[in-house]
Amino acid sequence: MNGGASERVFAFLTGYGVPEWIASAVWMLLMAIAVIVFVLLTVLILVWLERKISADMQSRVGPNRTGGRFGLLQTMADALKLLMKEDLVPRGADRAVFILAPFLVFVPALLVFLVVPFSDKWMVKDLNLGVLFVIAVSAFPVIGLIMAGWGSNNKYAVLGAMRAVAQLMSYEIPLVLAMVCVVVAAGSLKVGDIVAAQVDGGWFVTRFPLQLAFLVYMIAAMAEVNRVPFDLPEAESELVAGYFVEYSGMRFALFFLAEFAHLFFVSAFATTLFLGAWAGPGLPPVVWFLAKTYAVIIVIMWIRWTVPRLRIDQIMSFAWKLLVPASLLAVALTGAAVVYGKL
Amino acid sequence: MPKRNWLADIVLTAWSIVKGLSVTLWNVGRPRVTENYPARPARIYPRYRGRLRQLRDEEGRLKCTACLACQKACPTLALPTIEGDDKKGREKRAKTYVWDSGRCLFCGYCVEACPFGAIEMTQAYRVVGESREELHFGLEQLLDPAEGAR
Amino acid sequence: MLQSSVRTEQVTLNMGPQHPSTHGVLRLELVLDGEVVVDARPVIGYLHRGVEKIGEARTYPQFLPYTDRIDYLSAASNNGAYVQAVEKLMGVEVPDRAKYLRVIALELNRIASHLVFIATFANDLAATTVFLYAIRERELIMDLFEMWVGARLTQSTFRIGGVTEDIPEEFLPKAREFCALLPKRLEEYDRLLTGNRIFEARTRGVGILPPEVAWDYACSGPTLRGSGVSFDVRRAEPYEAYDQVDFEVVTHPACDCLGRYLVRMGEMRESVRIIAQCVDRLPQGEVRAKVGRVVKPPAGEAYGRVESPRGEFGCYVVSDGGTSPVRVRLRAPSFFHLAALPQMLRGWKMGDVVAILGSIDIVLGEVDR
Repeated sequence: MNGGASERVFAFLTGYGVPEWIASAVWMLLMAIAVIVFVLLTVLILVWLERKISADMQSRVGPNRTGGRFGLLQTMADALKLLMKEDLVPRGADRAVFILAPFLVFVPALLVFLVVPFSDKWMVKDLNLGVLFVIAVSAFPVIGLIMAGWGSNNKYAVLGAMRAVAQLMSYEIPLVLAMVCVVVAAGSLKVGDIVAAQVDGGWFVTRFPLQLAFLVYMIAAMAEVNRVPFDLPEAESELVAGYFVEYSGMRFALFFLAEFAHLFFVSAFATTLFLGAWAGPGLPPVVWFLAKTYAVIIVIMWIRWTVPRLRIDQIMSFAWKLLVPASLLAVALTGAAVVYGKL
Repeated sequence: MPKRNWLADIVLTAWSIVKGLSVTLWNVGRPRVTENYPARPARIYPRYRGRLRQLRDEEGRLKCTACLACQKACPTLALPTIEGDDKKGREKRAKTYVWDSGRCLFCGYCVEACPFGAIEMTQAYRVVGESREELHFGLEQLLDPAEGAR
Repeated sequence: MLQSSVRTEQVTLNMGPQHPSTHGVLRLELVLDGEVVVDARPVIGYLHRGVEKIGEARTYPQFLPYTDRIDYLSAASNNGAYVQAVEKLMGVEVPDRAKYLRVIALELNRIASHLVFIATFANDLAATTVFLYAIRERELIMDLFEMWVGARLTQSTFRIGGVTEDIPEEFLPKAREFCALLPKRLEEYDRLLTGNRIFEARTRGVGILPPEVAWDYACSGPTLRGSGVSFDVRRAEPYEAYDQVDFEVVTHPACDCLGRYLVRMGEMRESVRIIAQCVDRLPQGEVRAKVGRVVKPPAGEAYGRVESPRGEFGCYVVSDGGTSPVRVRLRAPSFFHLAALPQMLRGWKMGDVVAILGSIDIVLGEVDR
């Protein structure tokens, strides 16, 4: 699904006598670099966007010094500052666990971008099990969180990590079930097929009963990314940043980047599953894709700056007593609709 | 819990969140209240109690006679050294006058206590020094009418 | 049965002096059993500045600016208590205009302090936007004070015998503007907080303080009135011009965080009413009684009390006829509320600690003095 780009690069390299395995390795390397660069740039933009949107809603101005009137280079400046900070590993911390944890959280956030359809020609790999891949990889950061909390040798961190794990595990189920609804409606786990079904028949969010699935997905996604109202694991005012309280400098930056990368990903996936990905008249597909994704992101940010936070037991009871039954209902309705040919 | 209560709960919660969202959205249209300091000077009202200043009368003479009323009125001993010259009676004027802005409460008691109206508190809000000694202002500095920066 | 076979331990967690949500430098040692608070021990003294001792080394007028800084969020109330005590000792009669101006200062400070309460309470519960809105409104009050006496936070509007100086011309129109504006903004906070189900879920039924317990711990102010007890110093022992203005004492029967929050919201609306009445009915005249430069009250003791935004703030002054008080004792309401805090925290979850601590609105400046 690369518009033949992978074949062309492959042919170009093998034409010069490069062995096939090196050619594929080069291609994979190029893709990896592209994904990493894209994600890092996106995170920079997202952090800036968050600060500007929150400022707008709060009668403030937001960054307006670094990089001109709109403070465009502010995030870059912050990242540079984080890079120059002292690298602390707390005394008594489990070194290996402490150091490894940020990577276990950051890498999956990058890995999921393999199956995101940026446009009809731009997708790294249209895996046959696209959606399942996403679900599997999204479960990795949980281990990273536990490692971060435990390895920090800090009660606050452990508390935060336990809450985060409980929350993430609980909200995986409605998230997965909402995705299952879409898979049932499209009849395939392949992301390309899901998008194709929407290009032909209209966005999934316009077809009953997938609106319920969309709602469940959005709420579960906000909980997965630890956004208010579900951000107790990193509640600044209660646990002073929870599971990553002992991290500083670049390690902290990795957590931060991972969170925003994950935020972009869930929005992009929401766009893919429910809002028709890159489908849209007139403008180039990638523009449509990014526009829809950013619209979802802005709504998530809007909610974040409006609503107070839920307590952990309220989060858990909300997940199990409301969201899981709702998602099961969505699956049932979707199944019925497909069987009776209404979808 | 009966199903109907849950539904009402859900609807009411969603509606309350929507109302909140409308408030934040509406605020986006409001003007920003941030003052772009220090690109623009801060907005100060006339009666602001800022940096102390010594005044001269119409003939250019110092008004302060070193009567020590301000020193006695000050709650924090922020006027440690006030000495007059050797003239007698009505001709006496201050020779040394030190204002310790590090101890000053900016309460304005000294200004109230002065019977000659010789000192005032200006609108200068930047009272900065890089050491304790720099925060001691002498007579020449206090006579300088420059506002704002040292 | 699974629970009894699993061995659990209680954890002592230190919500240290540096923490985003202890309002000031409060150290709270929490003993937790899992997520539930079993015990809480406040450790105070990190902001002790020896204000009462300083009072013994200053003359009566010189101590007044120090009182501003005790409960720094509502400077005028502290002024009011001290000045009331001294004026009782001296038998000074304050002119009417000064009384009305004092009421305006007190009520403006009450609104400012309650706005800070809303801001910090909302911020603790992650409604950060409300924090900024409340601070934005508070800026208007600080502008009013800057216009009047030249300072924003530690205003020193009171003097023994009256107020510092008369209001400038632009004050009254601006005050009227403010009184018209604030109720609309309070409605916005209602839509963002009070009506919000999540906020309610965090505060309704949380941190119960039964009225008998509150009374026993000598709680006052919104902490007491949020438990349904209608006690307000402005009604019990009217001072300044409070007997001439019309206002309601806001109480709420629920003894929880939501009740205390609603009491403070209601009090802000009442304060706006009071200020509007004072602004309309401001009498002409002097703003300061003729008190000599040297203040020497006759020997004796007096207790001045005001209804500060936190509760009853009292100042007990002992005089021996000299220029300095022999003893100045400050009764800070937050101290007593802090004593009641462990009772309010037991049995609640870790996430509620912040909500409950925020709802009693303590200021460490007056707890530690």
